[in-house]
Amino acid sequence: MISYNTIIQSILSGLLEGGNYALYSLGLAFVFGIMQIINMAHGEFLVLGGYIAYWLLVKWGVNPLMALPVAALLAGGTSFLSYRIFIERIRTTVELNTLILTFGIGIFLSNLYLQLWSADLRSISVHWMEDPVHLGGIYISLGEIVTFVISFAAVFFLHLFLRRTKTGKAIRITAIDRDAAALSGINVERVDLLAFSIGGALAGLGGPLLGMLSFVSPNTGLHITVKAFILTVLAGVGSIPGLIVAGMMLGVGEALTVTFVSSSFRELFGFTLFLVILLARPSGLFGKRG
Amino acid sequence: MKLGNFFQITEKTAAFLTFGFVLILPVVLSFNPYYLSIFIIALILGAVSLSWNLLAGVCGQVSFGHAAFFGIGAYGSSLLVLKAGWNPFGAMIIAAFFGVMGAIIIGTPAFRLRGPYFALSILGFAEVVKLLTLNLTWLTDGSQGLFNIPALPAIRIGSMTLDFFVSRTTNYYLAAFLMLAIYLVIYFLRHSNTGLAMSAVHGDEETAAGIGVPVFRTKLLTLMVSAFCTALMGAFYAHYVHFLSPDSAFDGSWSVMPIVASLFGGMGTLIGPSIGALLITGLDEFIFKQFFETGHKLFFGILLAVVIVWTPKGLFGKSIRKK
Amino acid sequence: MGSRMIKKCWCVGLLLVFGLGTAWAAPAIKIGTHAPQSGSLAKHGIEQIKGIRLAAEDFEKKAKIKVDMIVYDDESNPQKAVSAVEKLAGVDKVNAIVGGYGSNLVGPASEASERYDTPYLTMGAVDTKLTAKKFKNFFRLNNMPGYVMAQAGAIKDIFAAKKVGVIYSSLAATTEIATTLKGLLQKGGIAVPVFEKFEKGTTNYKPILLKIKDAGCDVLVVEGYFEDYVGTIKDAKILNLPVKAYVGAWGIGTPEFVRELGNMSEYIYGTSIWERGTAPQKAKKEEAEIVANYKSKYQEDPSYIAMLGYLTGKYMLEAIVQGGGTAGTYSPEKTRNALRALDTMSPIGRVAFDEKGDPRFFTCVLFQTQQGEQVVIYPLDRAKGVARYPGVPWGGK
Repeated sequence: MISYNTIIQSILSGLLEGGNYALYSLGLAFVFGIMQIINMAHGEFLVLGGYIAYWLLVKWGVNPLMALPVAALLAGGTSFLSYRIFIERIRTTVELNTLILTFGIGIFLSNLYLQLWSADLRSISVHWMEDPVHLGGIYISLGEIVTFVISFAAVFFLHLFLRRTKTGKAIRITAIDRDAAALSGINVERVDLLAFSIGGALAGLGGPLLGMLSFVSPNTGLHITVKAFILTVLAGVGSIPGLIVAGMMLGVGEALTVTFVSSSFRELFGFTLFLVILLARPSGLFGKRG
Repeated sequence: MKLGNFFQITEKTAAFLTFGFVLILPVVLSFNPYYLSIFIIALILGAVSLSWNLLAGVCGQVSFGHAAFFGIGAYGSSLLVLKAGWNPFGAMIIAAFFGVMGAIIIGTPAFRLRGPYFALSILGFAEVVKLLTLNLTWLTDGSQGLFNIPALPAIRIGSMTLDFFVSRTTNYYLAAFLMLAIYLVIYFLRHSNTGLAMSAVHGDEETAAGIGVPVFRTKLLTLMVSAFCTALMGAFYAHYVHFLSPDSAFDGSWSVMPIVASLFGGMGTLIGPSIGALLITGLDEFIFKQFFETGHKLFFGILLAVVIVWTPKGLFGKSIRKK
Repeated sequence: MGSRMIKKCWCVGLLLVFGLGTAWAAPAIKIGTHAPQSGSLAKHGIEQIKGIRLAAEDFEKKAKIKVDMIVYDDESNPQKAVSAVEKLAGVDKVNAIVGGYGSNLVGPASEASERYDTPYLTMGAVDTKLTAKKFKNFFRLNNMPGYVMAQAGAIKDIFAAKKVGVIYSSLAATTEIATTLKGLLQKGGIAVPVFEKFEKGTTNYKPILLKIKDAGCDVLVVEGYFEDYVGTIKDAKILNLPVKAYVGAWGIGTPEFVRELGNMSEYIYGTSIWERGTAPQKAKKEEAEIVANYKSKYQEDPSYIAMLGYLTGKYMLEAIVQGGGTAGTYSPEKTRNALRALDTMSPIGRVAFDEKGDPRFFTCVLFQTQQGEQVVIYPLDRAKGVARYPGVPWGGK
């Protein structure tokens, strides 16, 4: 009973959603890859970006696309402060400590959002973006195309930044060998601070898109963190472009699970894939074996 | 906050003090059922934290998914009682062995991984088990959950009857007893040859292997013991609350809170995690809730951050000497 | 400091004057509530408490009896809900408990209230299993059949649909509604070719909607929550899903819903226990009063949850007083009997309880959003307008 058209449409929707997954995960993957910190507050930084875009739209009618830089800046700022006040002090201790610490920051932020903005789900509605585009039997919305492009661009520019700019190179050198970087005159503490703030800003960038495509609420954060995490492992730690492919794989896999099996197994697919990759190839799809 | 500078006690003394405190706490709370019910949950958390810390603090293998074993124990025992008509006490023990089976299933492949990857694979495992519980509706009733799970049957000792359905006091002392039993298991295990192997693995796996420690077997055995104890507490929880849903049995907080409690109490000690569990429960109940109706967890987040940053060995980590 | 002291004296003085002037007829009533104020159900729990709080205030004014209302956050967590009830009944010694949201929480909570012999009235738990144990202290304003009847009735009588696709959120209540609906439809000779559950937090509904399209369903029924409606409607629009009607369960047509979806909320059907203006003739005045008071207290319109919360508070408080008289010894037994004897018209229709504590007359209405207004179209005897069928906010069939 499943028509050809349905399968294609389903795959397409998975591809588009997968592209967004990549952006939702970018900040976490970046920080994990560079600093070996699993930022459990990642989702909360992202949600903050979503709220900012929502309020800018509701109060001043600001187009959510225009809100992107503001969201990135404020989420980056929150991330900066979290690092300066807390994380910096235990940067050199065991990994587990930074994990619990960022988890605590996440709890703090999500409860703060609850106090400030209530538990209401906020969905950013821009009507022109929801209009369907009809392409020979296939439907997609303008919003999906726009968010997909933004997502792609963010990954691309981050990649470019790391490869081509002086700061980007300093970040990469620090990630590979901290001591050598320090010896060659790089201020590694500054690099850490910068990297963590960029991670927050990247998360903030994802918020408005999440709000446009579905919604944000104080509880959304942890869900996003877990998803981002799965994707980071799938792509292989340290592989930024791999996120796009891994995201699409997850998106398409989820969509086809719904089409051929049942939508109640959608999440199960993601986690099973995660486990299989982790156990069979822990370096992920695109990570270096080691 | 550097308590270690002020006093030093041995592990044994700390354990005596802790269990002494647990013993008299109900008297201090004048057997008030509400406060007892709060501390029953704290004791369950304390026992799970002890088990988690055996794996993490002693053997050096951090798990992010102990909720998996907790939920397996809870559902396992409930289903044996509800569907097969077992006695809850017997069901609890068998359910704990289900936990061990889970440990073997995930541990065997996952112990080939190191560091965060091991931690994460257990997290994935916990999610998969939860989703299976949600979707195997014929067995688990899915999201509807299991209602009316029977309480543990009353025990008669001489003329005394210990009822577990209404009385909070008996449930409290049973939880305390389970925590003590788990502590003793961990204590003696730690001071056996296997315990030495665990420390060696914690120190450095390659060195351990070099001196002839069966690294993989040690790690798996530790996980099995840890999972057994966790599942046992999960089973107790099910018979105490009488209700389970995938969300409550596999609640992520059963993975997270043991970590938090252990960090508070000190991962380098054996008894510390249970102290941490009692402490954070008390703080949340008696202090944080006084400030807000909603969002009192906000304080909890801050406190967590503060403790980690300023006393990373735990509040008592330096005060309790290994002995 | 000095001026603050003077202020304090003033307040005490005022209190004394008022206290003597109004001469409280009876000692204070203690009413306890627990509801999720944080966690996944917080949104509903917060509205519920707003309603109950207003009910307590209105009751104080009318009955001239002071009401102590104690609120605990159960954090959307069953074991916390049990603890909350134990604290309310065991420590605070409240006369009765109202509140609770979600069958997962109310189930264990009602068990605890039974243990403490404290009457418990809720509006947030519809699971059929909850009343199976026949607790003597448990009452609820709404239960499952009321929702499903309205949906099934309209699909059969008004739409005369042949094929219906039902998709539902994996949470307990929506699962039960969907299952009951499927049974009713099939009994009525209507095919349900697509019957599928989706998980909470789903963001891409297109694959599941495509199944509806492939099966050629006339009607799409979504048993879910706010975020699910927003998601499915947005995706249905993108796919231009060829169905003739979109029917949802609760939470459709609320001000929030219309605000978020704008003109995409047009023609959508939803069940409702109450929306502004759906009160039966006899309760119109009461409805207007509650809405006005609510607006002046919170500067917003009450949602149906707030309204139901209000009613639980009101009926419980009245029952306590009716049962206990002025002696000041409000007994749980008398309160229970007063609740059992209750039979009244309210903004949500006739309210009376059976032996198990289930509502005897609870029914939802099915409405359709037409030009931003919620127009009741079923059951026919309460209908205010005619269904625009076929009609979905995107083109459709």
